[in-house]
Amino acid sequence: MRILNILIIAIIILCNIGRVIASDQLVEVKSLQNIVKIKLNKIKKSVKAADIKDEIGVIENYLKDTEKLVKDEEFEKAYYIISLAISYFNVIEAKIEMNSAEIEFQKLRTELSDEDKRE
Amino acid sequence: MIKKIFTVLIIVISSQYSLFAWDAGKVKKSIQKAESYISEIESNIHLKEFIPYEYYSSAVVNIRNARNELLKKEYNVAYFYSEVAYIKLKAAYYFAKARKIRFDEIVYERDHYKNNKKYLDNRASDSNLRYIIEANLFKKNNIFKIEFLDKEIFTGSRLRISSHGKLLIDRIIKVLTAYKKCRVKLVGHSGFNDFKKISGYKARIIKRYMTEKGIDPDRIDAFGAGNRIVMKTPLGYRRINRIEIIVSGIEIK
Repeated sequence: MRILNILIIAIIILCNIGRVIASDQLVEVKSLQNIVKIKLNKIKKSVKAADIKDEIGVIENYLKDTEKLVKDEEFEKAYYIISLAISYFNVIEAKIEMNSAEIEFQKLRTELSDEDKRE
Repeated sequence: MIKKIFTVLIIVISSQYSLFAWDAGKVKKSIQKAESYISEIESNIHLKEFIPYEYYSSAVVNIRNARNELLKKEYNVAYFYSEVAYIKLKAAYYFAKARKIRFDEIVYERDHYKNNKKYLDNRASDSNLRYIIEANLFKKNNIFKIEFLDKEIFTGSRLRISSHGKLLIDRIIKVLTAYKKCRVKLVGHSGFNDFKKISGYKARIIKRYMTEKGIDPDRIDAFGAGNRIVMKTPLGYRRINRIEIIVSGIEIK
């Protein structure tokens, strides 16, 4: 009987530890989700959205997946997915860099050809 | 009774794990996707030299970690590593493309001015024009300019002008003596916070050398811009130790 009592207490403690860990993970995932949303909004406002439409779509999909996983209480997976969303901002940054380089090159070409015409 | 509780516990724990697991097949596919992207990037000869090393190498490390985690049957972690590797490679590819475009831009601008100079050479009757061409001065609107890296002009930690540097500056001096009305601006730049005002010091060294060679000091403005002004390079805009020489007031006949 004693053993049974101890076991029940142990199970209760274990369950509570599980809950605490789960709530910690949930808080972490939620904060990461907020970071991603804020970053995404900033990018949408500052950059021509058409240039990086696909990349924004990928991040939005990651956000949707994360929300689904949080609903299913699969916090570990949700954490990984939201981390992937954060690292995907590198791709957006790189693509913006590429687009701006292309625009500058085009600008230079027109500038130089105008200069030629003037001379 | 105890046995029953244990079996219930085991069932609960095992069911939890099965919910969390990404399967091995998905992980393998993801790793293969990242690896094929690596081979695609490596086989692209035009982009290979522009790939940012930090992204590329960390992606390779991530793929290796994914393989290790796959062996340990930690599918969640393995999948995460392989996907991160793929994302990093994608970013590396776009960055490499941006660098390539910037490099092409610099080459295009250089070649344009080179061709322009030849064109001027053939048409103009101004015999002094050859000094401008020899000095490699680029025409930009109404001014002629050139930028030298510090290592091209100076030698040693005390910033003495090297023999090669003297040769380069002598070419500018020839332009200044040929066109008496023109003025020159020497701008020193630094790649770091210029607390010791070294950028200005570099410009003044060149000014002193020019005055020693007989150029009127009133025609020369020398100052340091610190690290405020960036330079266009294939890697993007960078703060680089350099000297900018701008000649204005040249009237070509």
